[in-house]
Amino acid sequence: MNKLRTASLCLALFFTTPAMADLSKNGNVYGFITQGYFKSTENNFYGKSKDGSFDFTEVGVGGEYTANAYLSASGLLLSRHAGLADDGHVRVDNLVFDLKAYRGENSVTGVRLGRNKIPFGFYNATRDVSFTRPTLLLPQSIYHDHSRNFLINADGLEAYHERWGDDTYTKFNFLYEKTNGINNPQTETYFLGMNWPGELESEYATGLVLNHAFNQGKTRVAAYYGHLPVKYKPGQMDPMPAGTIITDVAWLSAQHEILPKLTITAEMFLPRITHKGFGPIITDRSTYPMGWYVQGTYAHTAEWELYGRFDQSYRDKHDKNGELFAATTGRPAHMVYASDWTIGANYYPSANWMISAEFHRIKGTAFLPALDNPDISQMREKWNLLGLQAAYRFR
Amino acid sequence: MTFIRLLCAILIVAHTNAWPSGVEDNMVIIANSAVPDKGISQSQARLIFTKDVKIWKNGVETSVVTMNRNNEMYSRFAREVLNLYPYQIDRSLERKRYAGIVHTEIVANSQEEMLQIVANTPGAIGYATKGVATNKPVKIIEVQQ
Repeated sequence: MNKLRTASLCLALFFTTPAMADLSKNGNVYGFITQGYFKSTENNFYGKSKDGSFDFTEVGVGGEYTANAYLSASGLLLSRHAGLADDGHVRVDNLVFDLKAYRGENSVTGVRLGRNKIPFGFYNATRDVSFTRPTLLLPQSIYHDHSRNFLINADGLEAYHERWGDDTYTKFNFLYEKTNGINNPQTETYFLGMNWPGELESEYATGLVLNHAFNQGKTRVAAYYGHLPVKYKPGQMDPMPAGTIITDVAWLSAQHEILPKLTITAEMFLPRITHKGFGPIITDRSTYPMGWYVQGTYAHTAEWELYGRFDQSYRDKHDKNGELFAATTGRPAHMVYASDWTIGANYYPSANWMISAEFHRIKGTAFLPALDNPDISQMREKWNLLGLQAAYRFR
Repeated sequence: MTFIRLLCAILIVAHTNAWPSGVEDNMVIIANSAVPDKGISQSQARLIFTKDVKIWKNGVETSVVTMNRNNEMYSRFAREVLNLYPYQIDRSLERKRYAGIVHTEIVANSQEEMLQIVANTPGAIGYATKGVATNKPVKIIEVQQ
């Protein structure tokens, strides 16, 4: 919290330089508000969706300022309400000071310090901003809600090098930062099966990212590798010992414009989660969740965008049908997989408004938010989900 | 009286260029006269206007000047020159903006203001109709297909 206060003070001082008079040319304030509605045939998603749920609201207000050719700053305050999994409290989503240290003939190299968004895949860095999502919900196999808290932002540094050719663009990032959102009941449940008396603490994580656009900009590929170590600090009279969890994750993304207006996107998420030192409660082991999706988006007109997607997730790629999970835990096999067929549309009645509708046909409950579904006996393997959303933005 | 009203309406419409007047009405890319490029490809134009490409060959930073999202000029420019819909450009820009990657855009409220900003800002790039941009102190940049 103290670091955040210091950073906020720096930002305030930064903004109150004599250059404030040029705010309109050198800075912007922007924001959005998104309201969703969900109705499911079984299971609950973002609130009690079996009865129809309006428990999905995202509000953001941000600002950016360029002080000179080298220094700029940006920040976003966000409130997100998503069923019982997110209570809508206002948080600093990002607060970044950007130093463009070196400009080459066709390149720029610099570093971003502060609270950075974690940049894996095409959409994670802005997953809570509806206008940046190509579909109403991001594919839950990868951008899942049940363990999202520690995948949102991290405090530290992100170094970048960008270069461009005649028709190409390439970006390298190196990340050295501590993820936030690690010490909470949802994350502890995801890693340790339940909320224990102690605390999870993240150590410095490293990441490497590569983005490349080529083929006259029609094709984009991205790859991310991250190494995220987390320690458990036992509480008073805590039966859980002080073990470590190391997450190594590879993430591959590709997007290609196969026809004018028709774009195909595919992403794959390949983590390895290694538990060590939690015996006898959790034996030393490595788990391999997996997720991937293929999506087609058609920019039909200036007002309408249509899309379809198939999305597959597994909690453990060595137990895809959940038989081993059911045999060892006594819980339903469908909790460890989910196949999701989605169709939907975005409608832009004006520049600042977006209306979206999306229908899912799902088999499996791997990505259900646990807090919205406390009674496992009520979960059903096959279910449909309707989502509606209205969003407004300003700049 | 009705004839006079009709004549006035025709004159007003003609004066405000509401009728398409051929090539003069085409959207073109305009840039500050110090910008080194004379022609760019459509994919380069997309990279510049979505702020992937940030620096011109002479080392000057690109300064994207754009209209308000609701302005029809923005919508026409997106479709006719970049062959994209505005929401596609906006999504690309906002994926950077909301991730903390700053690229302050300058927003012009009219074509006249757009021309003035582009003429006076080194590295500036924007858009206007060809008729309005011709014989002004800005460079018209050809988009090579």
